[in-house]
Amino acid sequence: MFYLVIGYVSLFFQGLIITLLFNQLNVISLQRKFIVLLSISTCFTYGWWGCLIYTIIFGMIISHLSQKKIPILLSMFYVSYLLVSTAIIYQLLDNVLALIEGNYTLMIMIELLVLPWIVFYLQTSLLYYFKRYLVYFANHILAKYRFQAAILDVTLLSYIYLRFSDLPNKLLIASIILVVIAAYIYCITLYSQKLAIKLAQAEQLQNLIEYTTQIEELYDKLRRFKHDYKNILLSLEYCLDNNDLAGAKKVYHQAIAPTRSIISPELQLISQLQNISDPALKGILSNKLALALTKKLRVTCEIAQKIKLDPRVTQLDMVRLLSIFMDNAIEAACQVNKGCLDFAFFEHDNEQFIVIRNSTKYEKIELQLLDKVGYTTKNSQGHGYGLANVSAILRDYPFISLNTSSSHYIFQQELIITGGLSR
Amino acid sequence: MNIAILEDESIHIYRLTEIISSLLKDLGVSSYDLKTFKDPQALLAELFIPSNQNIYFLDLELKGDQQQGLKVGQQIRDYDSQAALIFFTSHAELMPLTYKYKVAALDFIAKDSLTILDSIKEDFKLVLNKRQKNTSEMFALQVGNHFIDLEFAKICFFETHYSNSHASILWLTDNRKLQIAKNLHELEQLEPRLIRVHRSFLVNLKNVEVVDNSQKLLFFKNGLSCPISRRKLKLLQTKNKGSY
Repeated sequence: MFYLVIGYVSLFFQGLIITLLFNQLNVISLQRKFIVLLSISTCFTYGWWGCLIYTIIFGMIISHLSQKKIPILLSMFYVSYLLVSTAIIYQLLDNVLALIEGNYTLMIMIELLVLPWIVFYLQTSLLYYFKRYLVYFANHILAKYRFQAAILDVTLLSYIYLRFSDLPNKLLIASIILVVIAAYIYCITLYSQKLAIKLAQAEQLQNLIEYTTQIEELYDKLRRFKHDYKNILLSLEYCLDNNDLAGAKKVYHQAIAPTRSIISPELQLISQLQNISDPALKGILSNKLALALTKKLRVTCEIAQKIKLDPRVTQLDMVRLLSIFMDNAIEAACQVNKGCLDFAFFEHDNEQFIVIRNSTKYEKIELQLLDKVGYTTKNSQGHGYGLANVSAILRDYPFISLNTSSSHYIFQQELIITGGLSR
Repeated sequence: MNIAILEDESIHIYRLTEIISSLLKDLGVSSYDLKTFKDPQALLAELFIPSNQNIYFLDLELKGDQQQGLKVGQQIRDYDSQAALIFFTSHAELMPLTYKYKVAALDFIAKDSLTILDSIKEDFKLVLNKRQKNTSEMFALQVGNHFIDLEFAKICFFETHYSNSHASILWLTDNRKLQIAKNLHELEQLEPRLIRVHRSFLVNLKNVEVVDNSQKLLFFKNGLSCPISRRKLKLLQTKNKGSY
């Protein structure tokens, strides 16, 4: 009876460690009661199929709590990884403990009071370095290739079977399996991150190329205008000299008034974009604003002074944020006749402001609905993750505030980057 | 209504005063004070007593300095937080959003705009509406680095931030959502009128319209909703019974 209680207590500690470690992964914020609940559910883990059930239940609870944002296979991957690595560390330390033979009370004391702490801190420090790779791997690779996720889940869980089997070097085999998997995760993550950066750079280059073409076109227009305007002025002068008001009017309306359109939107945009010193931002903005212009939106862009993005924000993340906001804004504005899109980027009182506003079809949009994952104004499936991605990116930047408003047919997103600039 | 114009070209002063006096006649405003200035220092020396009925028309570019108008605007704003600032400019480059943030400018008008009359009329209406509204209690809250003043009556509820434990999200009646640099615990201590109805929600009960007992939800006047915990729901019900 006594040993059973101790066994369960030690199991509970193991469960607590796994749950707390899971919480540290930061993929979902768990409330205290769920942490306790999940820790208690480790009491299943007597016997190898108990472990299996435990992993599945844990995965399902997490998947449910995240409102299906994290698929079961993914959460099972996390849990099984943590379970297996924790169990291996436990076993290794147990082997060390076995050196103190004979004194059972001391052993039990250490096992209950000291061991969980050591394991927890060991795992925490390991995770501190490995977390990035693990989460990236799960989100970017396993989420895409379910098959791989299933294989990894099975491989990890096979350890549990191994643990309860009678093979002589089961600990060694398990460790090797774990190390191989960890190495695999590490390499694949590095590789695919590099690939993502390469793709982003290619896209940035493409944006810059488009930007230069735009400037060239504009310059061409201006050059032609410059060529013409001397002649126009001459004819105007001739009409005025002869007091031919009707002729002057005709020249004005036919030749001068149309030139207004040349100097309007595109030139305004380009001249504003000059003030941004980050090439990636310049590229994405010129791309999206030009897209908005081709869709016949009324576009304004305000960048009042030379500005450089706060160095604590990576250009890649800002490009991702801007493209999500811009795509949403353009799409919403296109549903309106004579829709408009306004963009502003400026500094004020040690803060950087990025404001994006667009006209909307409805007087106002229910902002609470926008928060729901998978909510979309589009009919087809697979959309609606844009704003969820925004929150995912902003998780890494506690100094950025996002404010949203929607009323009077105007929808506005506002990012405030707080005080990182040296004064 | 007090109106001041800062503009260095006589022709524009003339045009604006014409427009303004005819508009005010249309709107039925008989008592107003209209001053014109050509020099920023003269204007700054003779500012009106702070009020939400002050309107300053500021030319953005004065004596060749493109930012002069903005600087004057900032100085006026430091002295008079409620005045309406309207910038007008001959520039092709309008910056309505930027200026709205920097000095809380009411409007931004291009001198060559065809709709200048309508724009100014709308602005006047806005200012006149402010007069009729009895100024409700203000509540200063920190957004990012700066403080903004909000009417307390506009607050629906605060919600915990999804990732930042030092921040919260404020939902307002006018369909706005702001990220506040304080967490629920701090806000709760700051303002006792806000009620913690749920672990992650702090509510201004004045704006609650319907309490849904079965779903355990509070519904607000503008269609927002937030959950309420079972314990608080009971508390609320007994409280309501007492008041009837």
